[in-house]
Amino acid sequence: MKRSFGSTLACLILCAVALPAAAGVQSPCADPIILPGPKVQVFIMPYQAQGQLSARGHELATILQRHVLFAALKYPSIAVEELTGEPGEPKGCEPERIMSRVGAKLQDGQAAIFLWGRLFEQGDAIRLQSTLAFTMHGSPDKLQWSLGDAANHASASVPGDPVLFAARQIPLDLLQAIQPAYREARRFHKAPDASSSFFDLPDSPEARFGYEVLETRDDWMHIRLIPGGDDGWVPAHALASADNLKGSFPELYFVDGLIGYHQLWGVGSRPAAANRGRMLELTRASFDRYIQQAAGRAESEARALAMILKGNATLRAAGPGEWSTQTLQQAQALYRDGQELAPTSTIASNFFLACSSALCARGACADGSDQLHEQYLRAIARDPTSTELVTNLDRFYGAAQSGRIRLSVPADQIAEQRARTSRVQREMH
Amino acid sequence: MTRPRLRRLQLTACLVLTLAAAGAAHADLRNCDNLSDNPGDYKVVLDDFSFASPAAQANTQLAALRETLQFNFTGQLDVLRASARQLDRNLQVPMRLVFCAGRQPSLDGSDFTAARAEQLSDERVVVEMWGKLDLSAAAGGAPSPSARIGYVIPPVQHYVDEADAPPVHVMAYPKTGAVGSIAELENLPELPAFALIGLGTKAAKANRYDLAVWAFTRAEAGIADAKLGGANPRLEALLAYVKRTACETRTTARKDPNYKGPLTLVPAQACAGVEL
Repeated sequence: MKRSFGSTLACLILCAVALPAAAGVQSPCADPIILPGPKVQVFIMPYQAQGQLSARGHELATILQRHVLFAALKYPSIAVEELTGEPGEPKGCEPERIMSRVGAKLQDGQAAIFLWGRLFEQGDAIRLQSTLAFTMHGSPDKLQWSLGDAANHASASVPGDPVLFAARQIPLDLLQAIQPAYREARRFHKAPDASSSFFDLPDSPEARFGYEVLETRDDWMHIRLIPGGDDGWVPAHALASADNLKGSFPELYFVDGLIGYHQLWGVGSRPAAANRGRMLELTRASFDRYIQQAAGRAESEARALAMILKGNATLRAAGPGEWSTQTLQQAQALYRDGQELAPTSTIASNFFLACSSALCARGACADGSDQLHEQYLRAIARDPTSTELVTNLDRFYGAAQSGRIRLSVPADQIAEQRARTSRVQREMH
Repeated sequence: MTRPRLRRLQLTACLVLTLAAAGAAHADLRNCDNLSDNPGDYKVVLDDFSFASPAAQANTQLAALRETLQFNFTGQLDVLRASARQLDRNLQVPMRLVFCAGRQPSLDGSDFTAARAEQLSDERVVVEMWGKLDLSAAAGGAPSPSARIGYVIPPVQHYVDEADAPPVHVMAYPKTGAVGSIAELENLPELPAFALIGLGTKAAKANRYDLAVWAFTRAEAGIADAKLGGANPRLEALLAYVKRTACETRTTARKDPNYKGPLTLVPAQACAGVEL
């Protein structure tokens, strides 16, 4: 039997400081709510169950999804919405439909992250296979690197294709291990002190409520419940001991990393410089944990993407101006790691080559321009369908012609190769 | 259990009994009616997963194995669909899944004669997959549930010498062996990899060089994923074929006066023992 177990789940909405109190309302798949304030909105769609789920299976699935909600507390300006299905409308929660509905309502500079998947319980374990997609409204996820003058730059884009993760097996016993952490995360203290009195958030799958983060103090967050207005303090570290769960379900780290990534990107309103360093640290740490936990699984492209996003976050945290050579070298090292994780990935190659071209144009080409030239040709030999690679090679030749990049190839040959590359570019368009 | 699945199971059981009585399990491979539809599209053909006997069908452990197989298989279909969407968007090349209810090739792939491979290749089938669930008894031990999954890559079978690239692959499921993750033993990354090899082979023959090289490169990544489930000399042979043929495709593209694409920018390369 195929059914959406999420149809019975609660809708939780986690709001940022500036949000109106009316933010915490139910949000069905057919009409997802887009809040005007938060920069990043995470939509958790109902996981489709293959076969029956036991009570323990339901419980674990609920915790998995709510873990994303609680884990996101460490970021400002975030909304996390758990979408609910309507009985009799199996197509209402189809990811493409939801993404389209959300995309139409987002404002420029707002990012949306979508998580969905399938689950299946058998014996003592639950199996999950998740898929993730993300978008920043009004801005393609694209970076540009100057190759010495304003008119000549290399660029690389993160495609909007969904990221598919390998299936995970999570033992149902894990519930017992993570229950204490989950219980602590639901506990609202009167004061930022573990020994102060507290009340518990409702734990029923039918419960519906939202949050507003009023302030943070040390490791504690002051949260107001929506609706109702009750407030209390929750320790940000509450779910740290639930890392067992993320170890079994590492895409939760990927989601964490993506939230920070989009906060740093922040078209129009970026975090203050003091917060950017901390946010970059959190973002990189989350992606690192994902890469580490997913090692050995058949998802090399997702791991490479995490590495690329780390590189992009490094550049975006440094600001929109001219990046320092040191910052570029840090990003380049991450892009190189991405290439090593997925040697056939065009995206990883393109980010590495574009960033390396910028370094070569500054005379900081560690491996030499000729080697970079060869790497360009090798990347095109592997994927002749990438217009971005061919365009960047054309720009690379342009920088070589202007003397910004030094190649051992004679000038007349560079001119000839550039002319050919330009012709190919026109053919591709 | 949903009605279509129940119906498929009943049909499977009925066919198994019929075939057993006839004593010639693969003499008449049921045709797939949908193959002639959309002649311009590349196709991935998915046959029924069948039980080897009524006793196997009644076995609860095998039913559980089938459920696991179904779950992981659906994940690979999602990977294929994602590749197909990318393909259609970037190169306007449609690739579709075709489900052939009731079609049950013999486990060893002997149904796929040269004539059938040619026909399937002409119908733009890039891979066909089938499976059989059975109880296999170890020496002196109790019968244990197992599945065998077969894949045939018709364009490879039709165009390539078997010594250069094995077109039929039959794999035990779940896999056995030492891997980084136990869950990897249940994974089925071969399906998208084989589909891309079939697509690349077909595209190379049609002088669609960019598409062929793209598909071979993507297939290489899929084979690397498949190797996480354990070493397999037939996969290694296929990987060598993929690398060599990608290289040869680039060489052919460079020599083709009608081709004006990006491969003209790439220097000539010797393809013997190629390791790009």
